[in-house]
Amino acid sequence: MPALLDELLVAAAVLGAVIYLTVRLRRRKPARNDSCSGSCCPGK
Amino acid sequence: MTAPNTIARPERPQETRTITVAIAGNPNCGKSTLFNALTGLRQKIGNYPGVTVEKKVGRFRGSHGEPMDLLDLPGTYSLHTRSPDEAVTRDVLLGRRADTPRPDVILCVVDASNLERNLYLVAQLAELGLPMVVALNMVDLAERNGIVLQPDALAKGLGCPVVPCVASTRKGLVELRQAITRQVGGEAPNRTSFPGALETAAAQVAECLVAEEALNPRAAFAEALLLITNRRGSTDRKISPVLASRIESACTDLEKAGVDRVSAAVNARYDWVHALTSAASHSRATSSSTVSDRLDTWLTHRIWGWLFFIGVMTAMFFTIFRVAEIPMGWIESGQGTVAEWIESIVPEGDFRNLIIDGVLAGVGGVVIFLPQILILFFFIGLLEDTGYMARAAFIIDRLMNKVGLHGKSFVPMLSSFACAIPGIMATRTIENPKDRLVTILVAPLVSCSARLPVYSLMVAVLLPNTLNSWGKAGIMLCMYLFSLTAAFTMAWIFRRTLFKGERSLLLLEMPPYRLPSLRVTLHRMWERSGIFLRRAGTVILAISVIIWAMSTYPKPSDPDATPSQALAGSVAGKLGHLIEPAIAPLGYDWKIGIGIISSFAAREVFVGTMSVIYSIGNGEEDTAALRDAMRAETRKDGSPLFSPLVCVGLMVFYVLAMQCLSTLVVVRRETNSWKWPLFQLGYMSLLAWLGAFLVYQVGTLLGFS
Repeated sequence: MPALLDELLVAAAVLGAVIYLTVRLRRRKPARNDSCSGSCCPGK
Repeated sequence: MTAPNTIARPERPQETRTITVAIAGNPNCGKSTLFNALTGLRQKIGNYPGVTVEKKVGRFRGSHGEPMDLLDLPGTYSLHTRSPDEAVTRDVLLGRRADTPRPDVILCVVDASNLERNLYLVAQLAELGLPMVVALNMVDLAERNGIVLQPDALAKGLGCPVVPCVASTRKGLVELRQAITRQVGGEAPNRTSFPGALETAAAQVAECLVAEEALNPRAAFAEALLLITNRRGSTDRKISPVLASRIESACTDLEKAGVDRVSAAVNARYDWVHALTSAASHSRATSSSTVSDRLDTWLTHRIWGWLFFIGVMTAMFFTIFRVAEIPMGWIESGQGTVAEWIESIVPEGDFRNLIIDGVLAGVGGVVIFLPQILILFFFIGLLEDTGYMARAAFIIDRLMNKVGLHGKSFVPMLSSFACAIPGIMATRTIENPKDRLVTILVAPLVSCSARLPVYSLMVAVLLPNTLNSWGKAGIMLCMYLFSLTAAFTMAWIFRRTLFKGERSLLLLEMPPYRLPSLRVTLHRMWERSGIFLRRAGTVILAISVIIWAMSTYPKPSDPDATPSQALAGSVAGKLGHLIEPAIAPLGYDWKIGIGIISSFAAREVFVGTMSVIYSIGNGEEDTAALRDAMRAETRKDGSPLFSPLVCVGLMVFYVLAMQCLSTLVVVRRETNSWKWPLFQLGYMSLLAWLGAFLVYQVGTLLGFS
């Protein structure tokens, strides 16, 4: 495999992993839940 | 006692859409078994947005082949909810959740052997005005307990179909499908007739709800009843000023009329339930104690109960560690084959190393624990289905109470032996927020299966020539007991400092003993393996790729550099050197530092990192090679690096440290804040450092090496 292609594939994999984790963490932000006043959920 | 639902049902929309049927019922009445029996494997499991309550939706077909969505709602005894799970059930049924459609039909599952208690929820569900089908489940058990049921009389009283069934043996499912199909767009059941003043007050508030929130009139009446009969200020929903004043005036009217708004509604429902039960069932003269009662005299006994409990736990752990070895060996050899195959098709280079040392080693290192996790879920499922779990919680409650934990914390703690993530998710059943938070904070201290590879490696380095597995098992057992002691001690401290307050009593239903269904248990294992593998294939995969890159780049300028030298110059190596001053008092060098940093995301990565550092490949015989390489490692003064004190210190460190990114993410989801996971990370890291420090320094002072 040409060295450039090798490096490109590695870079793409690492970048993909970083993007995936970033998107996933951002998506995990709590959705607002109007039905819960906080009496039942600790930390709210 | 019975009032027909008089409010007119609005016209159904004409467009064709999938009918939604919601399964509701008390805990332990067989809802999930019925759900699985009706839907088979056509299920989707997710979370309700905003709360981390599991949302299970399945597809099934009505009696004419029409597709329907079946929603498995969390079990509850009443719509006056106490835990986040129960709140979801109430909100879905009232149509409060924007993410879930209000059901078209309620499939209410009732435990036929406990009819009167189960009918209270049925009475509340009937008030919602939705078409309903009652599945009279476990009729076989009721029959054995000498209860004679008259489903027709119950159907007449409730004004909806009542279908006798046994979900675990699929008996009555055809009739159930027919009844559900008939009820789509059908009439609402009868409901409790409340005292006149309460009916008037609820109607007034309902009128306001219809005008203000465009609610369905029937849902509005049920919502109004809940709002009026709740304690003031604990309504769990947004209330406009107009609505608030209407509720206030309704409550004042009721007070003037001398009606206790809370007990009036409850008493009216119980009167109706009592009348229904009397008409629909009677007991045959049988011996006063059932099989369950007789078993309970032994299994909840002060001494025999404990012995049985310890026996069950021993059997479970023996199976987890011994039986799981076989499939774990298959997975390991499968990984070896895949690695060889990749080597044969991908040319040599960084990309091949990334796939083999990053992706395959990282994901494979986690997937290998799948058999242990499945066996644990198999046992947990078995304990739940037989009804023994409630007895175990009852037995352990006294001990748990002494350290400030709740009896219901037992299941989360038990699950944490496999993995803290299901353990933390299992805390949702604990109603008291303080009890729940304390359990969440200490659950990751319980020794999970990801710590096993670290213990195994350290034991191998510590006792290289001892082939006696009892000695090794003894050290392992000590680590497990130490982890439990640490969890209990921290719970005790938290309960006396951060979370002071009244302890809630353990209110536990003792379901009758039942024969478990293999189909249901296997189904649960299938479900869990899917969730686990999805996680391994996504988050853990991404983390493995990043950690590989950190320990590979920048590359050394000298092409003849050894893997160990290359690692020293990498980002991970530099970080290892950076933290060396902090870990030197524990007897660790920078290489162990890299292991600790790389295993921040997952503890088991420590073993893989050590393999890379000591230039050892993968494979069974390499475990011995790694052990020997680690034993040969010396400090500058020539003394061995992995001395017994360092090995024990490392095990203590891994018992106490929060080295699991996934757990932190789950804690953040469960507590809806970063505050608690960060606190947890802080206190556990500090505890781990202190533990390892004490082992090394005190051990050295006492003359150990």
